[in-house]
Amino acid sequence: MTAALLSIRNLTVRFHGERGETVAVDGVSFDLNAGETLAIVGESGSGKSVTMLAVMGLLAKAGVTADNIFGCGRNLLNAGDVEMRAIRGRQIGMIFQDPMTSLNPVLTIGRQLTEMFEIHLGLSGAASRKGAIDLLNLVGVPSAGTRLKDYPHQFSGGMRQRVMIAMAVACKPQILIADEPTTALDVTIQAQILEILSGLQSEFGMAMIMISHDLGVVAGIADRMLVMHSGRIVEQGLVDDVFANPQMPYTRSLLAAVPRFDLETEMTP
Amino acid sequence: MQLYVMGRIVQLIPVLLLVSLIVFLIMHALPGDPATLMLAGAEGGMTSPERLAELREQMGLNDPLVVQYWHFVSGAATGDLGNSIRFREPVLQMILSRLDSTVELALFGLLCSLVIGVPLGLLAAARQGGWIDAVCMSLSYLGASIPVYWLGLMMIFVFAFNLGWFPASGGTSWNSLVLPSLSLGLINAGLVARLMRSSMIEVNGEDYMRTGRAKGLSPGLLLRRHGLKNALIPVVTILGLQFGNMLAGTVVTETVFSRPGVGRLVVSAILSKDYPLVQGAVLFLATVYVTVNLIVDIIYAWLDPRIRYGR
Amino acid sequence: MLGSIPGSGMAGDPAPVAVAEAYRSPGRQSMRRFLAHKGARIGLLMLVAWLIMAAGAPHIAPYDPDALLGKARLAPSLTNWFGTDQLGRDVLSRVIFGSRISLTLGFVSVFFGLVPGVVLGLSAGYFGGWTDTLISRLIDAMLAFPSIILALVIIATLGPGIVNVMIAVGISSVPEYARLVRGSVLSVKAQPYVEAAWLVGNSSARIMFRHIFANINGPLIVFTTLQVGNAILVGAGLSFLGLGAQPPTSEWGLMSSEGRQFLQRAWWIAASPGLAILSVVVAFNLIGDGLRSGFDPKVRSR
Repeated sequence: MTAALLSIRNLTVRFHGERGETVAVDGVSFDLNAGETLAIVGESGSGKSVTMLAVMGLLAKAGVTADNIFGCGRNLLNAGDVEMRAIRGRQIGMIFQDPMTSLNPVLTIGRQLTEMFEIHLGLSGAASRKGAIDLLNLVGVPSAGTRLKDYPHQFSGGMRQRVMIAMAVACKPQILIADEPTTALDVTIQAQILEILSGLQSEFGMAMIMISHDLGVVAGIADRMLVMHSGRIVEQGLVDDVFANPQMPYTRSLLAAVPRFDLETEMTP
Repeated sequence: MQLYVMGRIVQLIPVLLLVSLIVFLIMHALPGDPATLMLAGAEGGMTSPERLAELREQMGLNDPLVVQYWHFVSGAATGDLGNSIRFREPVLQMILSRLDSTVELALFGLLCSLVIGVPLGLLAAARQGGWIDAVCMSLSYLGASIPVYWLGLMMIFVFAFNLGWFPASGGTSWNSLVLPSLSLGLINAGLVARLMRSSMIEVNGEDYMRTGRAKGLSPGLLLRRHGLKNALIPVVTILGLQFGNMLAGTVVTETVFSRPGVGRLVVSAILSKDYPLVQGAVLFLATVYVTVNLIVDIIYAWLDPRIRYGR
Repeated sequence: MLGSIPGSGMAGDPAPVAVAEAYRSPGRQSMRRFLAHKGARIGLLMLVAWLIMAAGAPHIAPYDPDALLGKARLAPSLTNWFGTDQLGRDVLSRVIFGSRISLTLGFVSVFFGLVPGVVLGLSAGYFGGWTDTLISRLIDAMLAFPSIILALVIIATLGPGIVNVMIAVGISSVPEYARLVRGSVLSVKAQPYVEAAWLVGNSSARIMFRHIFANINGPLIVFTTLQVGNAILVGAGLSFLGLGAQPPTSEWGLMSSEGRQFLQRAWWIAASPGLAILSVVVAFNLIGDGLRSGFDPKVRSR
């Protein structure tokens, strides 16, 4: 059996709130193979994002339990802080939903890009600046050289998300996690961003996990998909198979909801 | 950026005009004739009508108010704040000769409040609910509730009289500055710490901090490069206010530690009813305060590019 | 979103329901949250103790505050808990009597700030236009003075004295009151339902004042509470400088000032009144913070 790039077994995430314990992710297991695009779909609160944050080690350790989290040739479950930091950004890049708030408002785009080279590849000065310009060109930010000095608020939402993508792929990671990368953007921009993502994926040979609640996005970009509902995986398979022949009632209702994205049908309960 | 600074400087002029008008009106339009009061205070209550008339003429009190105000403002604009009645010296010169000491005290007080407050707030934010958090909270309560003069006296008692580490009063050496600026700083450190704490906690929850963690930044670098600058913005916005507090605090602190400064000059001028001196010194202090606030606004714009570029 | 407004014909506007909910018993709810605040309970207890002490000073104080007991600068002992001062008066008795002046100062000066400040802020916010411009510029200019400096100017004109200190400290807080009230009026004015009433010309003033009142109540009470403490602090400072109460009054700032010369050998003369101020002002600050969390539940979670 060929080893998967990322392998998760029985991941459970608990949060302790004021009203006791809530289980956000409940025994999730799945594999991600090299070069493939895996979509995770489900409504908000179904545990999609939390699963990914747990993989990245960005949640409080006490709440995360699993039989196994194995990724990029390492055991991520028991990895120490220093080891995890070397993986984050270097082996696994991550893009977040809201490009408006995900970039630091008081640092230039250039600074936020070059620090990826600085911390992971030990580059500095002209070399990292050149790398940053190449990255911006790659994701289609025009006149990259001059825009390095600009601040996030001087960019449009779509341009900011391009910068986020550039940052996430700066060190050519093996895995790219995109957490609803197009949700906060205009429809016209969405298609461009998805195009950039799949272009980068084939160019760098990355595996990608695309979190989305938009089945239209999933159909266009993913090879395989997982359907999550209240912290569990309720269905998984090749995208074409799931779309053609959904097994679970929840998946069927999700698929049935797709045509109702236009206004008139939504008004009728 | 230059345009922004120019704009802010232009906005300063009407404020300063109004400030001068307020000082002038309070000093002249309220009941009580300055000349009479001054004679009663400064010359032992022997108010002979001739002396009064002479003084009124000398102070220009016989002119209409508008004319008097014009003299005051046009004088002030050219650096002429009139002459002290008691010392018969130009007011501006008297202030300037004492300004060093006051600015020194206010700046070191501000420095103390930041050096104590900022790290304390950061530590409290990092360990919410811990003992540092409790210290931070208590300090902010005590700072807001302790009279400055009393803290000064207690510090003199402990560190000057009993331990003998620092001089109790006067002096021009650096160690005579320690107790006054520390007492000013401690009073305000709690406020700084509390603000720093809540600001840091808020910043830690921001999306860009999560991005930084996802990029693989170490906690130290994340805090220094991404967190601190954002968290400092609200602290910087109150620096002007803080400096005003310091300036106001020097009035009391200079008396407690017998430092020859502008604050003490104002108090003694009030006690001796030296009106031109009070008027000039207060206008001067308000101008300094407004100017400092302008500088703070410019620092703020420098820290936060969103403001620099007009959003 | 479905069925969030049961039986309501006013589709898409849940606001009236929410408003009715919130105003069912705001007073009682705030009171409960206030009393749930541990600091507020402590502060309230301290304040009540001081009020009792001020009201019953002649009965509570062990000695006449002005009586010369013979021995000057006696260290604290069982007969004179806080020792005696430079003239041989009982410091504890003087501290107890001093609470009358400081508490009065706090309340009176707040009155001198609150009334003009609220009037100015209301007129600026309500009338708008040039009235607002004029008042706002005035507020800005007054805020250009560091707080105590404005009080100093006023005292310079009125002359030293404890009553003048009350007036001066009060007036120097006018701009802050005005700014607070003006902001609140403007935010109420911008509410859609007030705007609508305004456009229709439907007794807009009454509606506005009702909402302004509901809106400003909390912040105003909180600020006033904190301001009482602050006024006591500033007032004592002015008396310390010799600009307020004059000897032989038992006033806390003045007492510290008199004790200053004897600090090395009789620290209790200067120290005791300061502790009294500390406890009174802490009490007001604790109550103020408790009230803030009572009026605004969001603050509590901070």
